[in-house]
Amino acid sequence: MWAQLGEGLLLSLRFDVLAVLVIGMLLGIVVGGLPGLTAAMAVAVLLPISFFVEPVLGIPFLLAITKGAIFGGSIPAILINTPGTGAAAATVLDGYPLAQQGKARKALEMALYSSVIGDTFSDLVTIFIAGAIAAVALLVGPPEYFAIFVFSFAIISCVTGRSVIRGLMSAALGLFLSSVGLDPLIGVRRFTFGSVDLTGGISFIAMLIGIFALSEIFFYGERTREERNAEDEQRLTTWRAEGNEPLTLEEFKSCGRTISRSAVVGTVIGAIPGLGQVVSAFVSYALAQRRSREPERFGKGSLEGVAAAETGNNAVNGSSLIPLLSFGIPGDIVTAVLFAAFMVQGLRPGPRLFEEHGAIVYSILIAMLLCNALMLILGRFSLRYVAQIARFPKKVVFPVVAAFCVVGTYALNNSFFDVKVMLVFGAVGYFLRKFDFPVAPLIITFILGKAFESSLGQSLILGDGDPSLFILRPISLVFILLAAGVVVWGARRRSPLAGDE
Amino acid sequence: MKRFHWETWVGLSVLAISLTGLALIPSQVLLRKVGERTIPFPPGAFPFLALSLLAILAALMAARSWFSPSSGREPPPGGPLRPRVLVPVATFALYIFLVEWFGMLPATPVAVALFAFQLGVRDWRIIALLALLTPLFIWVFFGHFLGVVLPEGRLSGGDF
Repeated sequence: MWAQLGEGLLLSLRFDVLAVLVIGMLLGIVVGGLPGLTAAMAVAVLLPISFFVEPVLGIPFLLAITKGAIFGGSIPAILINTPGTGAAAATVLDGYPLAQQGKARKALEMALYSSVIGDTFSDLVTIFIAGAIAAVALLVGPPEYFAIFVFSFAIISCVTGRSVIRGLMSAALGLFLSSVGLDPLIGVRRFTFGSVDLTGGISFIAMLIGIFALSEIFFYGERTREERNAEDEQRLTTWRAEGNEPLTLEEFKSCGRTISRSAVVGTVIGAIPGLGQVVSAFVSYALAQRRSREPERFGKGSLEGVAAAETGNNAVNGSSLIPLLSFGIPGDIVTAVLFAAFMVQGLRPGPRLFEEHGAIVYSILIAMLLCNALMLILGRFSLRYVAQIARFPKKVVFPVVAAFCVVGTYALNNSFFDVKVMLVFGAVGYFLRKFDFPVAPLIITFILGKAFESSLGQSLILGDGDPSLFILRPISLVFILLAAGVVVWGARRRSPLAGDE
Repeated sequence: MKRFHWETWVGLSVLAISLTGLALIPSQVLLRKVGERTIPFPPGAFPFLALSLLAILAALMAARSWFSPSSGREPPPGGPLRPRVLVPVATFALYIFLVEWFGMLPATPVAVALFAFQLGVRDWRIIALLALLTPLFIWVFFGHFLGVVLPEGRLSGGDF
């Protein structure tokens, strides 16, 4: 392994490799920063470029785009309450309130440093212990997946927001919305109302943009002119008082434990196919809130919240390659595209990949580490300028955001139906926020709903309809008990008997 | 007479929507008959579970607020519902209508100008700048650089 690692290091330190990493990273940040454009879209569109160059250039290029996009998604999440990618949906919860308090630069810098640390940790783990983690992932079958999903839903529903009941209602709504379209087990249509457009289900990006961006515009638009002017004036006053203040070392160090914990969580979640950045970001966020000395600050502008979300979602990047490289199993859309890139280059992902092409594989993994250093440099340089966007009054920014929402949503599938879905979810988001329903459980149960249903259905088929399967398998039992414990803990934490609200 | 708390109204509304959804399951979950084999987890089961959970929680929410000692006068946490919200909603709906009939590039300057005015911008130079730069950026970046086929509008022969 060490000889191959050394060869890989030499391969990755070429000037052309560094050049493609810079270009890929910049492209990724731009794509991730534009709501409606996803890392998967950028990687899929630019995949053919990788065919015409050697693998040590082509595959790191695609990986750099992915990393840049995952970080780039945090920029609009913080500045305009619009996650650029699904992975940044948790960053919004504290990033945007921080920007409103005139601390946009602090939030952006925390996002940058957290992303780099989470990503680097995950890449190092991938390089050195990929085999051991992959063996654990093999133990996870449909019943374990189901139990992990139940635990994820429980922790996110019960920790985010002020009410367990409203959190669980939000989660149940997300599960129902995920069932619109084709059933994942048999393929029958459900709740399509005869519409061909709904056969593929509700567009996640359209929902995301509607719930976050449009609802924010509607909230702002319902205020009177005097209220809007007062809010903009207060933001500008706060901005002038705080200035474009950078993140201090003390603030960063205070989030050290959160970042460490989230890096581990993200790395483990990334190694399990099908879970991905969204789960990791929200689970990291929820755990951080639970362990924080100031949990009440979460959702109101906590740097810890931003740190947890961004570390969690970026720590998935490296370890998501573990099932791909070790077993040939892509865990998400991006790694599925990378699977195609590997195959075209003659590198068949699977157990023999490291034996037959060890030096090239290690050069790719080391290039991923170099990406993180580049992200730090590029991000550090650009953020002080990017943060200036937060100074502009909302009445100037929101009309432009509205136009980008339409074109970004349309661009995904060239579908006008998605734009109309976005408007509907703008209204849904407005009501959710008005009545204090947390959005996080809805988003995460929606995105995982089909996988959750598949794992439930496959488990019942495996057990001939007997649900005791979930109790008899140890890993599944552990997660179900943890989920039950979280619900009870969440309810007691908010119970009048416990002295809480 | 006790005034309904907003949570009661929300709980009852969500309960009504959930029950409607449950009633729609037989007609909206279309199962093609291929033999008579029993499926442990039929297609209608998952939406049934999700909607049932939603209904139970909504009923709990309504019942808890009904029996709470509060007077029911507090507004929702996000502030009272205001009819004014219909203005940005209608503006956005108009934008979608204009894009569908006239295309993205002609509709965007109109919509951006309308939004800016509706949200409180009164300096015509800022409105003009936004109205011109936004579609230009969309055309250059999305249309040319990313190769997105921007909608042309039904009147221009666009396909919807």
